[in-house]
Amino acid sequence: MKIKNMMPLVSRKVIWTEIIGTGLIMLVMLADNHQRFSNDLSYELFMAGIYSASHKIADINVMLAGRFRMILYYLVLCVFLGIDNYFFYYRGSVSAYTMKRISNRKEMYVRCFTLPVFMFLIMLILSMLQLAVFVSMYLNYTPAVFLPEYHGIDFWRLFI
Amino acid sequence: MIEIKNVSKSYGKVKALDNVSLNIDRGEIIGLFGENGAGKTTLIKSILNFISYKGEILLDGERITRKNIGKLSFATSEHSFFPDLDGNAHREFYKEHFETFRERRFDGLAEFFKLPLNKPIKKLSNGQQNQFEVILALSQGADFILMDEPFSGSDMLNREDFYKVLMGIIEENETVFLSTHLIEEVSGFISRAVLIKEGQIVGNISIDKLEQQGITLTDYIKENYHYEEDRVSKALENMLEGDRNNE
Repeated sequence: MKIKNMMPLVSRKVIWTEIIGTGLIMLVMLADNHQRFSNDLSYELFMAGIYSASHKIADINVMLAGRFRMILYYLVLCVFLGIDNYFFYYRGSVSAYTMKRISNRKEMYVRCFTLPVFMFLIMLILSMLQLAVFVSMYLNYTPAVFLPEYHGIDFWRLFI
Repeated sequence: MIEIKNVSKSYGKVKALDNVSLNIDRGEIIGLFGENGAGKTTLIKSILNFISYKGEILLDGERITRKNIGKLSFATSEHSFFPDLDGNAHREFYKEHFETFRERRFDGLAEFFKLPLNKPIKKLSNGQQNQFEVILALSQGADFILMDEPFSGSDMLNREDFYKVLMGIIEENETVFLSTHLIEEVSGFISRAVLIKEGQIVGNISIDKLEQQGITLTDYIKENYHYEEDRVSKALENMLEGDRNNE
């Protein structure tokens, strides 16, 4: 299937608005997350430095708790975008009638949801990359003396 | 052939279609007439499988599914084009999705009506949008062309042009099922008239038969609708009498 056959049947301007809009929201979310984590890590290191070498910084799972909840917010945004794309077929005309007369019954839904699903997947990939960056910052920038024992990442806590 | 067998459809307690049976043969231009709310649109939407119904509708002996629905095209006053796209994009879409798409007919009709194919359809006037809607239905290459009041909002000259084009391009194997209020305008080119009233077929007659009987289509419809000629004068009289009594 060609990419153009997976896009909503609207003008290119509308499609680019969707891509740029959701892309910008994604970047703002990721940048904000990065800023907050950097601040928290700096604060932890600063506090550890003030106290003594015996003071450990917070566990990474504590520092990352709920930090990727933005993925869920973005998922909601993408679902709304898909629903909005669906209503394009009822706006200004009832072009849904035409979509109901083509042989591929899934095409209408593919055209509504491919773009949001694609944007969400990008968000997921970038978030996982960001998580890797956070873990790397935590493990590499923290002097070993301040590091608590590392037991790996509890993925569920990232969202809660 | 489209066979409509004992089709009923209700919206809550309101019966939109009540045990409708009708055959639509190939090569006919059929006019579907009835007052607002009589069930014309519901009947057409049932044929197209857009709504659920009781009964059976067969297209060449088979139930209408996504496999054979391409044999039906549809033009509606609600419009079914993609308003954001231009005519060229529609041509591409139809070429890709309807194997039988008649590109030459599409281009020829667009040229005849002087429709700009590089402008989003939403930017065209209502009359041009109606024209475009009908052009798509005629160019799809369907065996059965269903039209639900496609000229509503179009001016008379615009409609006349269309009737001429319709008569000129429709081929023997193509069938037009046209729902309209414009009885007199279409009476010159339809081959059969179907009347629907309160969800029931109350008339189904060929125009040849009407001519043999020396009845006009308008009279036939009035007769089958039990239209009272003096209805308006009676109502006015009642109103005047009421006013006089109040005085």
